[in-house]
Amino acid sequence: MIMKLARRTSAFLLAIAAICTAADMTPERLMNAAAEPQNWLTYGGTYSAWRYSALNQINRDNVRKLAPVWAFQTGKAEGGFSCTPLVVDGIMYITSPGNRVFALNAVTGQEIWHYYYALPKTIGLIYGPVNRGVAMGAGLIFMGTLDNHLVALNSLTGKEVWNVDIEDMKQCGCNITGAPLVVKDKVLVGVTGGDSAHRGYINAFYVNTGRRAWRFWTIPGSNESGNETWQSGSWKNGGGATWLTGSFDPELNLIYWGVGNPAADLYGGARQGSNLYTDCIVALDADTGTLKWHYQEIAHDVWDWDSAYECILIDKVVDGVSRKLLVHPNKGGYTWVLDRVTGQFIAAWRFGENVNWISGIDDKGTLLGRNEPVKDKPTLICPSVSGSRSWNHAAYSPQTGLLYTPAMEYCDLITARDETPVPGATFFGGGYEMKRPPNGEAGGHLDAYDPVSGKRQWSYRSKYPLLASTLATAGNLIFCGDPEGHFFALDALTGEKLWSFSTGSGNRGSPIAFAISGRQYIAVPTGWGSAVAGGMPQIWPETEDFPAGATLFVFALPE
Amino acid sequence: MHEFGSAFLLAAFALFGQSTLSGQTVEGKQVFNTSCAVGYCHGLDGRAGRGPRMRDRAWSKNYLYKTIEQGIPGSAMPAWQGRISKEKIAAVVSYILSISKEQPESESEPVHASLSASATTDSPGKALFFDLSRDRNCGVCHRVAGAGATVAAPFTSFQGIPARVLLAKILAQPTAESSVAVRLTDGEQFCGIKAAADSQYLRVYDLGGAGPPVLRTLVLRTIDKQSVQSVTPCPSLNVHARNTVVYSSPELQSIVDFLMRKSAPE
Repeated sequence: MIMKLARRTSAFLLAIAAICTAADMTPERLMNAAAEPQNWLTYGGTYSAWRYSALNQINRDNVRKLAPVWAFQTGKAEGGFSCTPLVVDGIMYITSPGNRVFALNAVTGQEIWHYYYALPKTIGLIYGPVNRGVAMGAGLIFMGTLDNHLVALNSLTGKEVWNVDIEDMKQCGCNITGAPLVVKDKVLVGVTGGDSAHRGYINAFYVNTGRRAWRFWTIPGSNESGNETWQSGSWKNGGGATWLTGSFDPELNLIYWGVGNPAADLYGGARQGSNLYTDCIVALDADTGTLKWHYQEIAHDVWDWDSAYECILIDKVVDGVSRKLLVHPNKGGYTWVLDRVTGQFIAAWRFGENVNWISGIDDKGTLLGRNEPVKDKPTLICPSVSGSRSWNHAAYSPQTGLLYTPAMEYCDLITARDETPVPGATFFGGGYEMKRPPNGEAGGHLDAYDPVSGKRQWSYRSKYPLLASTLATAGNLIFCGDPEGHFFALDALTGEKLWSFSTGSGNRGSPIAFAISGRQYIAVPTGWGSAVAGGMPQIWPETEDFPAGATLFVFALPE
Repeated sequence: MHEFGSAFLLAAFALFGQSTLSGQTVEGKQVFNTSCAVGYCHGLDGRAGRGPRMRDRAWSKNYLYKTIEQGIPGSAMPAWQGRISKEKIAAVVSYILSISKEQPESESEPVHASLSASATTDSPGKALFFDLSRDRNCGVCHRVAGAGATVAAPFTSFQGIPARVLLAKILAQPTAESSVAVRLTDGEQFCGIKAAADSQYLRVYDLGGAGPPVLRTLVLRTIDKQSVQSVTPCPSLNVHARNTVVYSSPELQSIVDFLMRKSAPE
């Protein structure tokens, strides 16, 4: 019966696929991305960042037969292959480290065009060569670059249409590694720089001309409200990076973006105050960039926790009331649940197992028992500065109603230090040495949670931290990959491992699902690398020899 | 007495040599942990991060010195020349060698900086030149001191130019010999600075928006009309007119001071 239903749903979805073959990507199509499960149109799959595919041809019953159908090599193995591929109407767009963009035939893997961005000879920034993907809209493909430009390419030819130099990377110590987000007639993009003496921002550019439409500073200027939350002058170099990709609620016309940590990361003695809008979720008017509300998860962060991760938009009944929610996993090991209409706190629940920087969060959102790094003296802080999870994203399945997120367990011996900021230079405020947790195992896990209560349904255990994003599908499958190169599928209901494929290099990217001519595919970028991967030998020495890679694998059921 | 004196001198030399080496290494450790171990780079005491592990490995002294000084092109490893003194670079090399796996005899001597130089200091004028909170800061068009965009032609040497002349240049209409006015077939019109052209494309810096200039690649067949344009009928090209709004008089003076000190062109 389930099989029959699944087949019928597939047939229905594939019928829709045949209708939607418009060449241009309209704002309406992007807003209704969920109605095109054969495509993967935005970074998070839809503006709600669920990383969920409604395709169910590949499911719990047949996933054991899943096999590779093609692979593509980007030729750039250093830094970790970390993108989320986009697919529209049979064409896939991917990026590699070093700002290469490829348009591929999504059925065969044949290259249609490539664009190699001309990088300056020296980058010399601490944020690495990684790129997490492109955005599409109005017949264009958008990519942020390692020297802090945003480029727009013709989606049919790969030719550059416009190119804007946002801020000199040497001057700001910042660049772009995150995927942009197209919202209506604008393309939005964040910036790194949270570990540099820099003042963060989100920029919106008109898709057609590249002219800037608005800019939101993540740290209020000297005459703006919120500037008083910074000790004199510290706001100028206060970080507040926006290095990942936000979400959008078309009905409320609000953009949600996570803002990163204040700088210096580990020493707050020279930036007394709550340090707005660092470690905040900001809700911005999509047309003007005006701040509608903000919620600060961690006031005066001294742990490098960030609040930069994905904002997952879910509508759910909470205590008998239908609520529009924003669910937000934070690097510090807690997931915050907010009302996305008002920014009101609803709940916060823990997903990291070794957490000692606070003793808990009360029902009003107040952090209890802060355990802060000390100047010039080592203090054990759990999780490590890499977090209870890295940026690799969670998935939400409306079918199971569960949130699936990877996590990792290790700690740091942190020594805070009072540093003098030099604009554009690293401004970290201390150092750290990785340590195994004193009361638990070092390693990783991938768990299923009720997104509001945080009740854990199951936990898949991994020898090493999991640094790949998750993908949930209507086939009741959860896909993820591990540092040893296994790309695997779990049962969404039980966490049981149903299938695994050895890709040959650690997984650091984001898998997606798509369909063409009635056949469902799963795509995953594989290739080990990145800052967190690079630090792992401190605890797992053998990981130093884990091979890099640059291969995109695409899987399907045998025909 | 004589023998005793020699022995004393030798002991003193040995002690002195010892303390010189360890002093350099201690300084190098301090510089390493505040410059190289920071963020997610080489890790505390060189234990690895995004950058490679430095401890317990065999390194060549010359390789370390050169790499720290010049960086690794196309990677996250910056060039430290000009950012920290040569003595500090030498100290870091000495420290890395002290935590290395193998340390050949010849590598165990103090590392000498080839030249003495101090780190560059930033002037207030430089910060103003690149101040991003001002929408039309100088750096969005001009490149100087290794930073900034190349929308405007490179500066020539400022040597011998009086400050008042330089200030007047900053406030005058820029000489935009390559300025162009474009009308596209879809009706859009704008002025900009021509960057390049070939048989298919025209590349123009569009100066019309409030934000940074946009390098637009226009397909020739989408251009309805283009003409070489003087700045007068095209207000967006006269970007210097806003300099007295963007900067106060003392700030403009600071910028002039900064530029005057840049004796060599980029």
